[in-house]
Amino acid sequence: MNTQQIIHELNLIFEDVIDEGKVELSLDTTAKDVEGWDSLNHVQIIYAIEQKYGIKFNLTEIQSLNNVGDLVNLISGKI
Amino acid sequence: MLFSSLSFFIFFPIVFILYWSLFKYRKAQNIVLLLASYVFYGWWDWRFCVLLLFSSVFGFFMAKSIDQSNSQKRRNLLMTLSVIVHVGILCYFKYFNFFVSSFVDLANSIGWQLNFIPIKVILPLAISFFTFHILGYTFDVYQGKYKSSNKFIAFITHIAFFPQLVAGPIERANHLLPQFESDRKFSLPKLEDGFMQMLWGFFKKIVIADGLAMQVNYIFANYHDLNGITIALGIIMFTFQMYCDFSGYSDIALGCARMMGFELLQNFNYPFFSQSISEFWRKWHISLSSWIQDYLFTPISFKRRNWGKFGIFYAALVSFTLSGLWHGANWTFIVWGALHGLAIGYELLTKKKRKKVAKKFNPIFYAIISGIIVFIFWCFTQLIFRAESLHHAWGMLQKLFTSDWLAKPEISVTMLLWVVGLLVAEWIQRNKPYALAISNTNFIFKWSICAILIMIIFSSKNLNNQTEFLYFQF
Repeated sequence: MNTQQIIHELNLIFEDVIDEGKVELSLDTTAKDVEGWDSLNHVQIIYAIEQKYGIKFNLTEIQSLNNVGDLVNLISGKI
Repeated sequence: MLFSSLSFFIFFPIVFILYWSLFKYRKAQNIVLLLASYVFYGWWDWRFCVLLLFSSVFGFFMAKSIDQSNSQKRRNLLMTLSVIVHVGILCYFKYFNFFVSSFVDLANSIGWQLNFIPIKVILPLAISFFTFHILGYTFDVYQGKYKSSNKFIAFITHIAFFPQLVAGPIERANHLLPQFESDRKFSLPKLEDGFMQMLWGFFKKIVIADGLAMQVNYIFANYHDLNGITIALGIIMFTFQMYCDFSGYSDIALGCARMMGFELLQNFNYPFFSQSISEFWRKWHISLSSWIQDYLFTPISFKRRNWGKFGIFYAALVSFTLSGLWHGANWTFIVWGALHGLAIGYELLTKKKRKKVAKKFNPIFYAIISGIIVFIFWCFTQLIFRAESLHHAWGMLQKLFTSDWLAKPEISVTMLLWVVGLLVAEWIQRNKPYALAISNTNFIFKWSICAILIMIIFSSKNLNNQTEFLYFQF
């Protein structure tokens, strides 16, 4: 699965969890750039990603993410 | 040593001159700050210094051992040992009597006959702050976020650094430690900005918080004899006393550090303009809320992520209850924390519904109503926070709703005007880091404002009647 495909699927997951309208992520997007991507929603987003791809993250991995690019790399490494 | 005491007004200029006269020698500067910080802390009781030194040295070497260990089992063991030692020390000094007496009360209530004589323990000042600072650093090294520090003097100095030692902000090693490991440049604009933030902090503490303290103390002690409106205003006054006292302390700390070339974490960001409790907590005691978020809320919610929203609700409730307990060994703090956890959980579970409701109203009207509801909830929980016991809080609440609200309130109009003035100043300056951030304005304007504030501070009768900063007890 390529980066663009993952980003497209992440857009859908973010829109579903955050429920703040359309989301357009890029590799450089950070939590500050997306309205509603706060600590309360972050864990739910991560859980939705785990469910979608059938993968598991650990706490250190999710706490060391700086932007969507990091998240995409983490997902790519596990699927 | 109190920031607002005569000793500090002698201490700080000496440290400042000595520190900047050594600007070419960073290590010597750090040693000056280290000695100054231990003098500052030891001014209350020199025995406190022993504990601070032990915790810092222990934290330094444990993080180093964790970092150097290749075996995950050994890293887990060292991390567990760190938590046991730091939390154990905190529990012994702060919570031992509370936990044992609560257990004895519970045992007696089910018919056991137990006796407990509380042991005499002196609570070391700032213990909750520096324990969280060191534990946060150890967690970060354990999780591999940062390498452990190799610079012993810089490390123990950044823990003890006197502006932030006693009441925060609770610093993060990755933010403050690199500043101790690199050179500081003397900057006149930073000096001026730091001075102004200190001045604003002194104004909030001495003129507003200490002025409100006398009335608040009277109202909380004599609520039996007062009418409902006076009690209600007393609770609101305490809310602003706490804010001015604590954010005043943070302003002094940030300003003082900036005058020496350091930037501390922003601890307050105009919380009274928040439209939800979650937003309030992003603007109130920010360094504690972000600590709780990173080291308690996120790990708990992550572990319970398969519970969906209820996992987040559970994590909020547990984290905030523990944050309440962090403030002190009293059921009032635990209930206060739990109420905030419940409020945040409620906001999360009803987010979609509230969004639909909001669309039916004018946005400004909805924002004002939300702000008022948040303020009333905050004041209600502050009553519990300030009360000596839950019984005391309940008594005040009963009196509040059963006595006359149309009677004349027994409070100072001057103090109410100061509070209104403060809110107006904060609203105007809400996009600045603090309300007196005017160093970029006209020279005559800014120094006239400063001169007026200095005159108000020195003519205040509170100057001779100061109270200790409220957060010192935590």
